Amino acid sequence: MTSNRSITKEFMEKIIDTPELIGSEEAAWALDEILTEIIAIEKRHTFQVEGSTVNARRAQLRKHLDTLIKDVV
Amino acid sequence: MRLLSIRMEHFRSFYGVNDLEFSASDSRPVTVIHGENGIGKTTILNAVFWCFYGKTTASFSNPRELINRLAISEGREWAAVDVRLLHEGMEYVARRGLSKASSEEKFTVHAVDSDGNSKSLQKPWAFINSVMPETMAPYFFFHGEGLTKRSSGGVGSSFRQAIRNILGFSFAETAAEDLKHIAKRDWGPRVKELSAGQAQLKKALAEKQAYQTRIDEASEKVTQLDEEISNLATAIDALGSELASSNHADASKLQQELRSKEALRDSKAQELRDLGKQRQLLVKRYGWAIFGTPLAEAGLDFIDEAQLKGRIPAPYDRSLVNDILDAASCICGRAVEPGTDEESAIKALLETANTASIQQRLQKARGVSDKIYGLAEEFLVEAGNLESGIAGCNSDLARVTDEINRIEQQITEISDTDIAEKRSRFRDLRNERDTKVGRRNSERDAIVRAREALRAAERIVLKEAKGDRQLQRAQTAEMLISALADRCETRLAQYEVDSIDRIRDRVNSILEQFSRKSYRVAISEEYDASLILADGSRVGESTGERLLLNLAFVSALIDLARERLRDPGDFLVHGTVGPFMIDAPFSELDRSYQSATAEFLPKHSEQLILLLSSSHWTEAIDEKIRPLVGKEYVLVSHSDKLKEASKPEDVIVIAGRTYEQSRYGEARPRTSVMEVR
Repeated sequence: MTSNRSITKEFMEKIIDTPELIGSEEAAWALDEILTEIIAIEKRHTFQVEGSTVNARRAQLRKHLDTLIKDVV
Repeated sequence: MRLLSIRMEHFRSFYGVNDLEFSASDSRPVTVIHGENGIGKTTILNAVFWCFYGKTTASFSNPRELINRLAISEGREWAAVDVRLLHEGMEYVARRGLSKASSEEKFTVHAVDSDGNSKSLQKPWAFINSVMPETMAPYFFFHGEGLTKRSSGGVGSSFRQAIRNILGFSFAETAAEDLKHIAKRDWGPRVKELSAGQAQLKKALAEKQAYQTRIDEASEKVTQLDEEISNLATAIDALGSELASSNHADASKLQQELRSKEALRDSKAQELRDLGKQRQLLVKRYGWAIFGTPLAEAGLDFIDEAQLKGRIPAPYDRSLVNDILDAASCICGRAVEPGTDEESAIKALLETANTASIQQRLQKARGVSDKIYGLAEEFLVEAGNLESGIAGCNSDLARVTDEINRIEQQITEISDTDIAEKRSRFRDLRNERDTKVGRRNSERDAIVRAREALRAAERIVLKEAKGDRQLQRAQTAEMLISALADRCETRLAQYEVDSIDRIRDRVNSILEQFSRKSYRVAISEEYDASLILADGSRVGESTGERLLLNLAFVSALIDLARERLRDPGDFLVHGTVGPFMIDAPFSELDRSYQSATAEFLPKHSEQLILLLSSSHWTEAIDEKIRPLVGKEYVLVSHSDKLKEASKPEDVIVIAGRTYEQSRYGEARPRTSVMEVR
């Protein structure tokens, strides 16, 4: 993962207090940080996991998002 | 990446082992392979493609019959292709083999160091995809003749998808799709389950669900309508071409004029839509300032009046009041005893006493009001410019619509049954297309509105869920994941707009240098490229002009892919540099455009491999390409039959020397490779 986990964590904490933040310009950079992590998962499954299925890829992504959300909520 | 060589063993028409080295030098990056139709040019292109990806190109016939038939009859029931390539200073050998007995393919890639030692890579297909992603490969290894089949109208969603792949969108697109799936399937039902029994929350969730369904349905309709519009555009274009090339001179002339005016009308209509979008953005950016101006004025009036009357700030300072209370003595000398009415009255003054922070807030309030005035003025100037642009565009649109009506009237007056029938079909198709475009645009608007409503409903749900940790977690997760999918799509849309601009600039630069006429290119959001004149009216392209435009278009795409080589690749797939291997690029170009294409193609490729039949190899091409050719081959057809006397000699003359392309009475029918020296 190349992105800064503390940035995403900070962002997640913020949106719990201020849900209006989602969709705002202010939140765009934080969403981009998380997207970088997600794209890395997509890429790994395409280039490194031989014979990876859509379900396997989504399971990996689901796990990642779950960890991200569990960390802060 | 550059290709160094290929070895084909029992692969299609290539019986036995056939080696071919490609030129990979900077000064002479071109390899030319001459071969008559049906001998094996397309096979070479497909050998590389198959070796790398285990697939053949769409136009390759009988893709399951890869093993040479003669080899099979002799019991040699296998085929193999080895490709040597150079990538980032390191040499690799990719090998794919196929055995008839097992029908299984074996694929390996070995890295070869400078001492010749080789090491097998653990994930060969991952390596090849990192060098040249499979989605981009059809644009580096492609069939030139197929390009002209892409008509100027209606290029279809598969073409758009292919371009998006070459622009590096594939991972981000998959990510958006996966995120939507996870939000909908995993978190949506969980939120619903957890909120059972909470009436208010249930209502908000039902609304949210309804908006989501609306978005999904509308998106599906948009995709379907896009495809239908694209098909209609192809049919309209074909019928328009038929009418424009009709034997009836007047009808043909009028139809050409009509097409040109219609293209101009479309471009003006697009301009008008763009200006409309700019107006929306302007209101979004400045709207609050416009509506805030009366409030700011009222606020400033209040401050001014209160200051005039000495109410704001209060004429006494907080520190003075505190000093009096601390000293228990008024400035007039009277004692201020604790607990007395006098002391309470003085303490009450603290609530309105002036402080540094009140002064600061007053200054800030004035500053904000001034900013609002300033922005409102900026808005008026920008809105004025925009409105005059819109008015100009509307007037152009009205003028060109009048001209279209006039021409249509003239065509209607031509008494020719065939033309009248075609015109009627043309009009019907166009009306159908316009109706569908209108429906698609309303669906798009509905999506935007439903998205906004969905966000509002989500906020209500989140508010209602406060205090319930599990529910809050589920709701936050769903919101975040949906927002990520939206963000992903928004960024892709922005990149796409930017990419179309960049492709347009590059194609225009190629046209400027190499086209005989002053053409420009117009590229629609479906990547439909067409030639236009300076006033925006469309040109009735000849087949050759269309091929030139398409080659320029692909060259521009390859340029973009090369430019993005250094991109970090954290959102879009990073770019790639690859050999440009083209089968029959000059087939339908006239002499002058052949020469132009032969000049610009090498400029836009690191390595160029041209597969040509003798009819495509002209003096003009030879003149431009010859100084850049590092390797040159002729494919020779060997037949086990005797030459019929009536058949002419099958030879090709290259640089003054004659090479035979067919040999008869040979022991084995096959194709071989002969190097031109």
